[in-house]
Amino acid sequence: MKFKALGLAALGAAAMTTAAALPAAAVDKQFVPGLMYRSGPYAPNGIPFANGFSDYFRMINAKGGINGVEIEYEECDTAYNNDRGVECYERLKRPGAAAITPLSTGITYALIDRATADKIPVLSMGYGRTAGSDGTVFPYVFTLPATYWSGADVIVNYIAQKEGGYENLKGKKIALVYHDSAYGKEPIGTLEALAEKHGFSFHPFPVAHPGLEQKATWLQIGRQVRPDWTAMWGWGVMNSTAIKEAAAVGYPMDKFIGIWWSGSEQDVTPAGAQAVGYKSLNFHGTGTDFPAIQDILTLVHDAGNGTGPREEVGTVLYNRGVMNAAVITEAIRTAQGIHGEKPLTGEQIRDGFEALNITEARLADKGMAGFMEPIQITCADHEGTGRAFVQQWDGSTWEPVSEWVEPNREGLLRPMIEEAAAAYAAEKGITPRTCN
Amino acid sequence: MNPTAIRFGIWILVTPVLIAALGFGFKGLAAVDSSLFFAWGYFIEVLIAGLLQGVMYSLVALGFVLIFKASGIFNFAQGSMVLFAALTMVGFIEMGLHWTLSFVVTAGVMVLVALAIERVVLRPLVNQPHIILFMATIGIFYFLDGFGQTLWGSDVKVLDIGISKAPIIVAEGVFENGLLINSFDLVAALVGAVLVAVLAIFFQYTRVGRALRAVADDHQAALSVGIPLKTIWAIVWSVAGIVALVAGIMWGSKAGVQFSLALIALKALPVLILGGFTSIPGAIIGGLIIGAGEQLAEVFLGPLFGGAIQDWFAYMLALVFLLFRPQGLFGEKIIERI
Amino acid sequence: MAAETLATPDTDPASPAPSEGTAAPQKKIGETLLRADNITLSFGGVKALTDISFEIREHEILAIIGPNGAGKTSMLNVINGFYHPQQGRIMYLGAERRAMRPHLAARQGIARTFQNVALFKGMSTLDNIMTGRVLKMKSNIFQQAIFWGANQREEIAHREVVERIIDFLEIEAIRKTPVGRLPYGLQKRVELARALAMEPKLLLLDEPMAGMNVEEKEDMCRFILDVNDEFGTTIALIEHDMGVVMDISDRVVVLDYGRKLADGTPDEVRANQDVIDAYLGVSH
Repeated sequence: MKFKALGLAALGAAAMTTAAALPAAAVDKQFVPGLMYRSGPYAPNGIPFANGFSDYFRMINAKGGINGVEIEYEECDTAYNNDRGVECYERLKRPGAAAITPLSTGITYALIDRATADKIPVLSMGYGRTAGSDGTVFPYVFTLPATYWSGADVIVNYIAQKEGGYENLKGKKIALVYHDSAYGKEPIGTLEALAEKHGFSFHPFPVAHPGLEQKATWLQIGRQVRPDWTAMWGWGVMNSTAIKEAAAVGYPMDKFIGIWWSGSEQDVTPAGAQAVGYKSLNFHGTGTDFPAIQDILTLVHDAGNGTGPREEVGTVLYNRGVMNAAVITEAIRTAQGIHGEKPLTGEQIRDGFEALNITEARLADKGMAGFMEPIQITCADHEGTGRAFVQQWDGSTWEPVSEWVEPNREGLLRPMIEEAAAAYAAEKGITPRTCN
Repeated sequence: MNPTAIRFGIWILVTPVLIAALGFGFKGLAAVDSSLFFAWGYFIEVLIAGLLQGVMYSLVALGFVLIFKASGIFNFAQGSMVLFAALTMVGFIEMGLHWTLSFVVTAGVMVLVALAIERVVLRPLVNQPHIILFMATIGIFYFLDGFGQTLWGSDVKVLDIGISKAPIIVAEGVFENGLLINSFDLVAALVGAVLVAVLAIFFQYTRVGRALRAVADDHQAALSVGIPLKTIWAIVWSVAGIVALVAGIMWGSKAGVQFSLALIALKALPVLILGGFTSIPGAIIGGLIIGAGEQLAEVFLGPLFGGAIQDWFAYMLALVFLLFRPQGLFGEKIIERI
Repeated sequence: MAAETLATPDTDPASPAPSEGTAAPQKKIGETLLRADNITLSFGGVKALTDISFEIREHEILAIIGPNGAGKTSMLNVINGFYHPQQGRIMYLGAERRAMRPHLAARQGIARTFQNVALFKGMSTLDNIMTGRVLKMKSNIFQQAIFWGANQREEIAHREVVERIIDFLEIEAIRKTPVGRLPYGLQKRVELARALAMEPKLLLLDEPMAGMNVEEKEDMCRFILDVNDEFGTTIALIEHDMGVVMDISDRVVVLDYGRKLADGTPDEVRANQDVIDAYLGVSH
């Protein structure tokens, strides 16, 4: 894996970082590191995200930066491998790093302590350690706009809507097909709690990395357990394989809902027509009908500066990369409001994250109205609303098929998060700070 | 009279007994532990699915066997050859060639790759210890892996050669929900069977086959009668390349053509351990046993262990066989001259 | 090509004559077929052969003898192309041989058997012997994959040659048996048959009688002499059994610790004081 990844990383890095770094040295810039993966088994999913992430910063720079401060972006290829992720972090960390984007739950777990010690914010957007959204224990971890626990609750709430109320969940069967890793295991606790609360039975099915082997899993689901609904926490080739195997046992696609990492074009196109009707969560818009995305097309791609191919602009994972970069940009902008319009340290930008308040008006300014929901972060709550919507694959595009679905944060999840965070604090000997 | 025939006969007789015993075993377990589930129709369905899956493993294992037989090298690069072949095939299809045509062209490419490997890697290393050649194949693995993706990109690609993937339900009158069989797996198994038959004929009844077997048996002696080792190696690698292509097509159209295809080589390992590194029938029977064994284990025992046991179960099964028959089911008997 | 045209005029007059005559001394020893000049071979500083020179003449039976570790097999391996001497040269068919490889040596008409029988154990006797015909087949490996019919006709022609050899060595009964199942003595015979199938100009036999009982040894001696008589094949052999060596060979080369001790007819060698000291007398 090393040779290949080295080669690819070298190619990729040479292609993009030199372009970004050449005019760098002269002016003061805000450094943003990115732990991406353009190699390894999950590269097909990692690449569009990385391209969206990088393109957004290029667009911001083309517009003159954030209040005149340009972004200096540097990428390191983790190949979705935890050890490599830590290596990459050590390579890219510096006091002036705005935020770490680990793009892997495993790497996030590995970096939380290090980044906290180095005072660099970790933005694990829709992945990572759910307990990290408790800002009193994890001052440097941000999980906005939603965690896996919220995701699990949103799925159950959506199912309840479709079944005509929570009372109708009683006696139903809900299965979970999950990547057998820190990532895939995150929703299990929530789903078990919800099963107890609502009276449905919960059937978890682990799938070993990389997920090409799911025949037995789907024989059990499709022929024996026959659940009413199936949720999926998959990534990479596991997603498309699951859809194919589900179709092979005749499982109905519209009763099959993936988390937001199991709902990109890469997941459904390999399954062809079999994937039509498959659903997944999402928390941002797809397509190019947003002014910010149009800006990327005109200022970056038309200028011949696009990181990847133009066609991938607007796809789910590309847009997620854009959203991730946009949130970091807003955190930097907010931090500049506090500490001054100049390149800032990670510690200062943390203050920006905690004061983050992306309103409808602000979204409209950014050209992202309707692209994402308004987000407000506080010292104690690093997650935000936790809301998501359901989208469905119609064979050519992802169509939203629900309103924003609310998770039961106050009544259920927040206490669980605080409990988990307290347990972590006790284990690590952290004294939670007080937030007011 | 003929010991092979007798052994074959015993196998045919014992297999159904073993399968039935397994079924009763699972049934008993399910009766004791309520988290387990058993029904005969379901058992047979899982068994068939496992056997068909096993043929897919055999397809990959075959490539290893060919090269190991002829040169004693464990070709680490077989997995990346599968990926490279599939990527190339998809690449040609995307250029607008019909899949049959691009199959032929890709087969040509695989022969070229084999010739290049022989010329650039194997020939300079001739007479080196096997471990050196093994290391060289690790190099080839990473090269092909990276080169293929550089050439064709690392997106997930769809390879569709028009095989139906619809489930078929049979024997509905016999079992409660009928038996579900995947038509794609059925076709794949058929392709595997044809490939094995062709290889068997090639090895047994042609002169090249005789030369290949000669090289496999004894390098020194083969050289001394004038069999050119280099030519043989080029042929073997070419054949292994074409087998990799077939495996790549079947796996690629099943799982999509992407990086993980190179990892299915890992699934061939227990098959090889079980079937023996030098036996073509071993690769087939080994594939069937591993395929059926791991699916049955995952479905009927998985809940006891929290699931996802099939990967390590396959290796464990292979390990158990290894303890009793180190040379594998069909491998050549290991006799050390002391 | 050149090698074949050279060989024909010699073998043609030679082969009919001995087949009728029982008068052994009539055997015509020809000119030098192979000459080794000052061969030195070492493995990482250890000298296996030092400055060895001798020649092999057409139609003769030459024995190479010497105690264990004398370098006999190394010498065969040099002739056969498995080893490459650091110094010295090999003249073969009147020309100096360049960098040699075993399959090239085979192409030039050098066949051999091995000390520890190197047969293709999974294959039948017939298939084993057929591999000896590889170089005689005209169509190459790629053509034959394509032209099935022509290939089959050629196969049949070669099959006839092989059947004659099988008759000659009296192994009809085991034609279809996988050689791995044969007793050692018969395996040695199959190996000889495979070498003969190559119709070699020079046949190298590495201890053809090792591990055989008296009866088998007698058979093997007879076959070696018959081959030499009937086909006029030049034979160089290594053997431990001194009785056998002295009986069947025309000339003997004695090696000791990688050096040549003596070279001559069996009688001359038997009388050589160095040989008596080093081999026959003292150390044995």
